[in-house]
Amino acid sequence: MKTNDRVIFSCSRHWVKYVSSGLAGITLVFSPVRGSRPSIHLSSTLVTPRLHLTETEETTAWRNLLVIRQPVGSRSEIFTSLEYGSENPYWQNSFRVHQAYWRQRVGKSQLKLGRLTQWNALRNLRIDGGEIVIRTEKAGSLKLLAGVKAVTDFSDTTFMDYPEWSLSWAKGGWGRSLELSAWSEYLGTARRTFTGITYQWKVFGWRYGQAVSFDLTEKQIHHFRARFSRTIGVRQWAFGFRQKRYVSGEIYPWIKESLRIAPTVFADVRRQRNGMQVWNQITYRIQSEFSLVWTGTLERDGLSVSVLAGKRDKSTLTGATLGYQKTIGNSLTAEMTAAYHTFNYGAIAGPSPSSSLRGQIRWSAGPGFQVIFFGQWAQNPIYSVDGRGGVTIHVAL
Amino acid sequence: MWRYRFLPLLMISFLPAQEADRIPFPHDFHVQEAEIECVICHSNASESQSVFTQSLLPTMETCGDCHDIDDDCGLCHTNMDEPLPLAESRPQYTQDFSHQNHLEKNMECSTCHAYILEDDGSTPGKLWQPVDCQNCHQQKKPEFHTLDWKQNHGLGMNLASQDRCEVCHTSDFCDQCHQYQPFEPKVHAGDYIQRHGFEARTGVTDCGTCHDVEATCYTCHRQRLIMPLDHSIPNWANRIPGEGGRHGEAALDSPEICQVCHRLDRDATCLDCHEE
Repeated sequence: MKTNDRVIFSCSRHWVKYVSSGLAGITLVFSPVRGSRPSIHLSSTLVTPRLHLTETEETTAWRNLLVIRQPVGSRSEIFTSLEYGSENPYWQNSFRVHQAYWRQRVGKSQLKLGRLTQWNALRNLRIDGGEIVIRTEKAGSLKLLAGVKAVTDFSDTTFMDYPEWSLSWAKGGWGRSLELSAWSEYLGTARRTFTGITYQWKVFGWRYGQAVSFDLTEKQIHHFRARFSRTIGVRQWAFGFRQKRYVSGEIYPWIKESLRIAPTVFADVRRQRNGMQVWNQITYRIQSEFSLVWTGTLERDGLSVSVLAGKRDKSTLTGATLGYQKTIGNSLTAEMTAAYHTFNYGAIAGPSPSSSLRGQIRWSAGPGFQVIFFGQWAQNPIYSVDGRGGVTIHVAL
Repeated sequence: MWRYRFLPLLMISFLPAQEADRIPFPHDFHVQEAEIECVICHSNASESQSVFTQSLLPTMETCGDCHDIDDDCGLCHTNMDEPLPLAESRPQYTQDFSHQNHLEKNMECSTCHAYILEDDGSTPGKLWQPVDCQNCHQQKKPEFHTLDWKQNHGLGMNLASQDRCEVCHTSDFCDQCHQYQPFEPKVHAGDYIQRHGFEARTGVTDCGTCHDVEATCYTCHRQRLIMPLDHSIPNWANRIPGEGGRHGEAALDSPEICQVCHRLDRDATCLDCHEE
């Protein structure tokens, strides 16, 4: 059954549902018997009316998130993060598996099998497969990860069902580290092999972080990101650069130039003193049309004020956000955010303002029980008025 | 049918088993009444970088310095028929920990192990709780959690550094912002929908860090036919040969944004002019 480009309910992925549900079930059944107490987090949310962009039909949306960590013996654990809720444009199916894996530790090394995530400066991944990490005291760490790209809600797509692998070696820790990686992925219309390096160091008081990947298939730099920062007194100064190549395959054959997402340079300064933090950032995108954005933020004692002003060619954006958070006693926290922005597209369309108001009250009854009431109202030219409210109940066992 | 498959598993799990040997150790007596220093038994703690690879438990010979270990097995072992070596009675570690690093900062053993003062050995006692770590690590964040941490932590994420995240954070900590898409959004709250296109084109944020840009944008911009506002610019696209208008410049500046809607494999709009 096909909907546009997407194949809904691909049978080939149904085994993941059963395996992940089974892991969660076995975890709950066996945990009291094995004597190793699991950590269970259950979060249920109900929100109404649920409006999404141009939809006119108001709906009530809900979801339940179940996160279980079950130690099995001294070296193993089962971790599952499952969600069941109403379908929406982002999640096409009700049942979603974010993570579900079995981890076995051997010394400092480990093996993981199941649905895994990788959060990395070079490449984020969510796969159905396995991962082995070998850690040594002196020779660094080695990681091999392989599987097929995971589809969280099982709405399998024709462009996502591909094998993935990556091999990494790393040494160091936070602040001073080096990682070398090689991996393969589909981009555009072909499989490509990449190699990459991430690097953090401190030279003359400046922290330097860099991530670079190189396309071995086309022999050119694919992604470059660098940032320098230094704390002098109460201020932290930083500047950096980032650019990523755009791989389009044969989508625009008439464009002869090499397509690249325009490089961005940025500089920011943050100051923290007497509990007050002030942050100013300028972002300049090097492209044919002039593009410059300034953001400034001030935070103190639960109060946050943020302003934004930007210009890109003939369009301008200005706006401000005001937020406040107050904790009353040990169990009640209230927070509120109000925002106002004006978007101006030169002669095409006059100033189009948008505004929003958002509030939340969080009540904590003990360390393992929270009730959150929230509401949001927004007005902008895309959906003229959006108002919604709901409640989240969070239980931790 | 499915429910009966669990039945044998359930039955097996409740079968009685012979109790494995334990070595209940009354820390309260040894520490408080006998006033024995921790390092007398745990002599290698100050050099231990990992609890996974190094056992901090004393050997039986260490016990023998004070006790008769040749004849009085029942003093320590609960199952003398199948006594286990001391090393197999190790606690169930789920996170690695460097005792050396913490002791070098002049921390006392009791900072984390206060529970042993009440441990009479009758039941497996608590050696520590996660809250002990949080007492320091949540009140005082690690040095590398600098002022720009929230915006720039991604650059430091690699294999060498990120296993330290699990000291304080759970496995789904990244997902809480990057994946779960809560109905009460933390990241893109309020009227963000108004400015998201501007921020995407000016590089204020890297959408691709979290989003599969094509799939995410496609939902609205193609399926719901919401066109970017710049498509209304005069001279955006025309049919004069060699003078196609400003859309070409935009394509060179932000090709990833064009591709959200315009792909030859599903949309032939471009071919109306570009086929020749």
